Amino acid sequence: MSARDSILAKLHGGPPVKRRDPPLRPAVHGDPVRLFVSRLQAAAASCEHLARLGQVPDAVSAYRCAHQLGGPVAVAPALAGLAWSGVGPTIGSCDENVDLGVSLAQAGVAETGSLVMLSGPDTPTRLNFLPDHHLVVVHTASILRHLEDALLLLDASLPRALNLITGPSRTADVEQTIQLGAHGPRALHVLLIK
Amino acid sequence: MGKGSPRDFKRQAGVALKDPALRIALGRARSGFVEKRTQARRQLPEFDRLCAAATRVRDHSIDHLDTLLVRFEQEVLAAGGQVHWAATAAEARQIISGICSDAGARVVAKGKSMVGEEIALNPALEADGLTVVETDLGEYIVQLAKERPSHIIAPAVHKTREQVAALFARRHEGPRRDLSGIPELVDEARRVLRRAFLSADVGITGANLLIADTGTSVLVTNEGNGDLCATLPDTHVVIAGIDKVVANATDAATVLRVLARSATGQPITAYTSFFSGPKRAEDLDGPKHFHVVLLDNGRADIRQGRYRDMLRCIRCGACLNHCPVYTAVGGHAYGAVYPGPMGAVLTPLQWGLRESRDLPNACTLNGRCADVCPVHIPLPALLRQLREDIHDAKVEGRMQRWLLGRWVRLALQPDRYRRVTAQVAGLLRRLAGARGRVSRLLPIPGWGRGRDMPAPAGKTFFQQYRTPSKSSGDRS
Ligand code: SF4
Repeated sequence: MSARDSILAKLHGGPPVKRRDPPLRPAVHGDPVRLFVSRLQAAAASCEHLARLGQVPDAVSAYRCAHQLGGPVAVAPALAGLAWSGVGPTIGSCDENVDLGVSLAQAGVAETGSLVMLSGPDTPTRLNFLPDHHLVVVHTASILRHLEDALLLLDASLPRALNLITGPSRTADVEQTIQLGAHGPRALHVLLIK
Repeated sequence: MGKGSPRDFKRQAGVALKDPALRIALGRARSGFVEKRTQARRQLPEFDRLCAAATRVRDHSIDHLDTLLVRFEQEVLAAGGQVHWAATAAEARQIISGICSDAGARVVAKGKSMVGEEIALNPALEADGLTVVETDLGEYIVQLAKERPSHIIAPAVHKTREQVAALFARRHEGPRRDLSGIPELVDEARRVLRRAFLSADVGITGANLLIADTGTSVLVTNEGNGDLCATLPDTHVVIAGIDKVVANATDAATVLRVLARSATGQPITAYTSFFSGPKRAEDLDGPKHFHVVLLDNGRADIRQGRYRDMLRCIRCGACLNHCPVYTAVGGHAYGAVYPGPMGAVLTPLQWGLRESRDLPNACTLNGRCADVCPVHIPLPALLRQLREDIHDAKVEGRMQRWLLGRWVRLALQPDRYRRVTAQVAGLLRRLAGARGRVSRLLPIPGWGRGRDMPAPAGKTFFQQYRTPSKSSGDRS
């Protein structure tokens, strides 16, 4: 008997029954966008409101100035249509030399302040984890209330990876003291588009 | 330290209590865990109800493991991944070793995985000639120090920053540099481990949950190391216990809500990722090959017996952080992969009662672990049950068996029992003196080094019971 069959033989459980209790979700009071922003900030991310998507390249330039970043920039193909001439990024995925990545979130989750990043040809995953600085564009209209709402995207499109990102990388592995920038981005900056 | 055996718990605990650096490290970490969880709970009015919901989700999973695992397998295959079943640790090692050799791998980057520890994966891969690099900072520290994790979510919690600095200075190349602060330590590890990520041929991660409906493996981290393991190398291998599966995304959300809060006090960790198969044809990045290894290693047997509730465990670590024994002796004293209350239940079930008979007895039955367990595992009851099983299996120590026999005989003779207990109480009161605390028991050397005990009340219960009270109010 294969390992599979011998394990399954022991696990006999009968047909799944329908559970009666409705799934429980914590209350989300007030404006979901405001909650989203305050949760993200509590997780050590910074946020900036922009009126139009077209303002993103200027915001990226300003961010690079403010943080004195002169290195290469990579932008997700989903944002390729913007006027990037002032920044001169590569469009696509990235390698370890890029110090700023710009990507587009599919949605946000108010309950936790999480960005919902889907892998795909227009939204490569490396941008989320390799660069020191991660800038993420998210439309306020896409902010959802609960985790469950975001996870519906799994059923809908089943990307290779769905990453919920809530703040920059961190570790507390030395003496339970929180230190940002363990392996992923040291800084997460969110551009909210009306 | 850190490579002991559960058989030696008593000796290892004694050594731990005398280790000054361990006392400092555990002291610096302990309050953090407890406070962060308390705060997270206070900030979410529904917390207790959410725990009850998570408990129901996990119960449902354990009841229907067979259907859920088969569904999970179907979905992974449909997404282009592969699923492997391992009945034992040895089978799991063999499977992963085979995947690495098929990939022509030389370097393996690992995300933290307790199942990886359980099956002792690293030594097996190293024996194949592979370079295996742990990439979670805590796990990397214990790998460098040739130890094992002492906590299921904070592997290096037993080390002070000074010890980590000395370790890095010794093991990393480079000129003399400042390693005095935590930021410098984290930066140095980041620099060293980046190279490992970029050169790795295979990335191996654990999974906090598996979602049956979509064939998804869920990974919860704060560092982002697991995501780099799952994104950069050409092959991604997930190893998970068969107990980890839940039915659907809604169930996963229910568990995630209480997992991070119970573990680190965060509403959600920095990264919670959902992996379903290899890179799609049009994707610009991601692994070409995706494997999930499902490990039984005793879980199916636990499910059939009286310890079934233990399978609900979501490995949050809250029971460790709130356990007076764990926080006094640290994780290495347990001499097993899983320490603390959850480990004191799992270790005897996985490794045998005789080998681990001291672990269930190293519990004060104070019940704090069960109070903080987000999936309501009755840990003290399971530990009591194990004590009975150990007694029935006649595998406890001879001294313990003899003492227990004496005590039973004494307790069956009420007059003698009263006389003896009154004498012992009087003796203890004299030992305690004015402070009212007993911190030395003459025949047991070292007893008071890590604890003391209040002196007994003025009279035994029976003596008080016999004395007529002045008024009924006195007895309140
Ligand atoms: S037994 Fe409960 S508290 Fe302990 S690790 Fe498991 S889920 Fe967490």
